[in-house]
Amino acid sequence: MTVNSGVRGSYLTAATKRHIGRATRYLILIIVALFCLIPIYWIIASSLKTQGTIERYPPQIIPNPLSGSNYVTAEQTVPVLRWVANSAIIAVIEIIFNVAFCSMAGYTLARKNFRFRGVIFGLVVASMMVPVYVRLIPNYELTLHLHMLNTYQGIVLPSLVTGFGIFLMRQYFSAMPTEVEDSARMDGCGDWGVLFRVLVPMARPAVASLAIFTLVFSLDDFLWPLIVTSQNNMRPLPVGITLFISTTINWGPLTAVTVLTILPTIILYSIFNRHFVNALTAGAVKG
Amino acid sequence: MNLRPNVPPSIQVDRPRTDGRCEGGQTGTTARSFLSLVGRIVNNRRFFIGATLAPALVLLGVYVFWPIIYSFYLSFFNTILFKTENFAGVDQYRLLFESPLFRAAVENTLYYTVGSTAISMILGLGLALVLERTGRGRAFFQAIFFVPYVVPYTAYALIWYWLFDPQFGFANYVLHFIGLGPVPWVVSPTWVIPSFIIMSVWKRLGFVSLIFLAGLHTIPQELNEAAAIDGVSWFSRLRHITMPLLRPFTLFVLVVSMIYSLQLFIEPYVITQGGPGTSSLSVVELLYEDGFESLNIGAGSAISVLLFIVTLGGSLILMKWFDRRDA
Repeated sequence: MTVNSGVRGSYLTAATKRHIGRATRYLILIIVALFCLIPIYWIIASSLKTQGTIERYPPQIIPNPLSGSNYVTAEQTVPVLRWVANSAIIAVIEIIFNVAFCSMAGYTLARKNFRFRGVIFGLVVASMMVPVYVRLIPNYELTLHLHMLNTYQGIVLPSLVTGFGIFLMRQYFSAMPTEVEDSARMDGCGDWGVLFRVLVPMARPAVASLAIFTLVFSLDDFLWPLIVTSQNNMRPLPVGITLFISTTINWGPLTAVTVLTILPTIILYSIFNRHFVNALTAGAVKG
Repeated sequence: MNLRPNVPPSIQVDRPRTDGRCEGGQTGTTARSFLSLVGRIVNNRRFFIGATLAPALVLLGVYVFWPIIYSFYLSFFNTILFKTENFAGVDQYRLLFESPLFRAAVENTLYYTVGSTAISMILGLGLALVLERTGRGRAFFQAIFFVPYVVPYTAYALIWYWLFDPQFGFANYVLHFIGLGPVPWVVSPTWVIPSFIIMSVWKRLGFVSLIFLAGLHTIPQELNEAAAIDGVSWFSRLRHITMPLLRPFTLFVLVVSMIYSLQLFIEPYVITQGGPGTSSLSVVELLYEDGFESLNIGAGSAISVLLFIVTLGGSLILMKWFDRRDA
C-alpha cells in the first residue's frame, strides 16, 4: 500500500506511518466493537443484580452479588414461560412453512420456464418493499373475520411465506449446477423428488440462512402480534414484556425478560454468523 | 434488473413420468394403477409449477398486495368498528392535513429518517473502509458489529431505554467520564429524536458496513493503486473512484434505510409514548393510535396510504436520481 507521498519534510519513515495507520484502524475497530457490545453486556449485567444494586449511581460495572432473583420475580409476576413457549411455537411454525413454501416457489422460479415468470418474480421482489404498516388494518380485519384473533394461526398466517425467503432460495437454486438434477431424473426422480429429496438437502446453507432469518423476523415482529392478541397468555415474549412498562418501571424483572428475548438469537447468531452474512450480501449484491 | 434467469431448455422438456417416488412403489395392481394416475397428475409439469407457486402467490396476494388496494379504499370512508359507513371522499385526508398531531408526527419521522439514514451511512462507509484495510481480525470485528442487528426490536428498545435512564443510566455514566453530560436523553423534547437516532445507528451499523464492504470488494484494486502512484490524494480517490463505483450499494442502503426509518414505531411506543408532549410522536404510532385505539379505521388507512406513497415515491426518486448521475 502506498503511503501518501504528498507530505514533505516529514521525519516519519514510511514504515512508522504504516504502523500508526494500522494502530489507528484497530483503535477505531475496538471502539466501535465496544459501542456494539456494551449495551448488551449492560442489560445482562443489570439482570443479574439484586433489587438493591440495580438502581444505584455510580452503577456497578460487575454485578456483586450475582443473583437470579430478577428472573424469579419476573416469572412470578407475569406468565414469562408461557410467552417464551408462544414465541417458540410461532417461530417453529413460521420456519417450517417458510422453508417449504419458499423452497418450492424459489425452485420453480429458478428452474422452470413458464409464462409470467418474470412478472411473478417481480412481484416477489416488490413484496419485500411493502411496509408492515400498510398491511396492518386490512390484515387485522381479515383475521377478525376468520375468527383468528388470539390464535397462533392468526399470528403466523401473514408470515408463512416471505418475498425475502423466496428470493434467497431462488438465488441459491439458480447457482446450483444442473447436473445434479439431471442425474436424479435419470434415476427416476420426479419434480417433487428432485426438489425435496435432492435439492433442498443440498441447499442446506441457504435453508439454514432462511431458518435463522425467519426466527429473527419472527422475534422482531411486534406490531402485528400486538394487535391480534388481546389475551395475555397468547402473546409472544416481545409483546408480553411491554406489559411491564407502566407508569413505574421495575427495571429488575424487566431487564431479566429482555435478556430472555435476546438470548436465542444471540446464541444462534454466534453459532451460524457466517450464514447471516452470506444471506444478506447475496441480497444486496444480486438485487 | 435482470429477472430472466438463464435456464437451459433441456430441463423443461417433458419426460416420461414415474410414480413420483425415487425408489418406485411395490403395490398391488389396482392400487398401483390408481397411484400411477395420481402420480401422473401430481408430477404433471403444469401441476408442479402451479402447486409450488400457489402457497406463495396466495399468501403474498392476500396478506401483502391486497391490503394496499384495500387500505386505499378504506381511506375514503367513515368507519365504525370495521364497518364502512358512508363515503367520505377525501375528508380523512383533509382532516389529517389540518391536524397538528399529524404534522408533528410527520416532522418527527422525517427528522429521524434523515438523521438516522445519513449518520448510519456515513459511519457505515467509514467503518467499511477501515475494515477493508484490516487484515487480521476482520471477520471477527465484522461478526461483533453485526450483533445488534439480530437483537429483537422490543429488546433493542428496552436495552436503550435502560441505558438512557436519566438517573441510573449507563450512557450518562460514560459521558461523565469524558467530562460531558448529564444529557436528559428521552425525557427531553430536544434530545428524544437524537436519542432514537443514536439507537438506530447502533442497530444498523453492522448491516450498513457489511453492504459497503461487499461493494468495496467489487472495485478492482489496480484502479486505486494506479491513482495512488500518480499521486492522487486519498480523499480524491474516495470521491472520484470509490464513491462512483459504490453507487449501486449506496442506493441499496439508502432505500432500505429510508424504508425502515419511516416505520419508526417501537421506540416511541415502548419508551416515550410519543412524548414528551408530541416531540417523539411518529407517523406509524399515530396510525396505531387512530386505527387500533380509537378504532378510526378510515383515518388509520389514510395515514398508511400517505406513508406508503411517500415511501414508494421516495424510493423511486432515489432510484431515478442515482440512474441519472450514472449517465
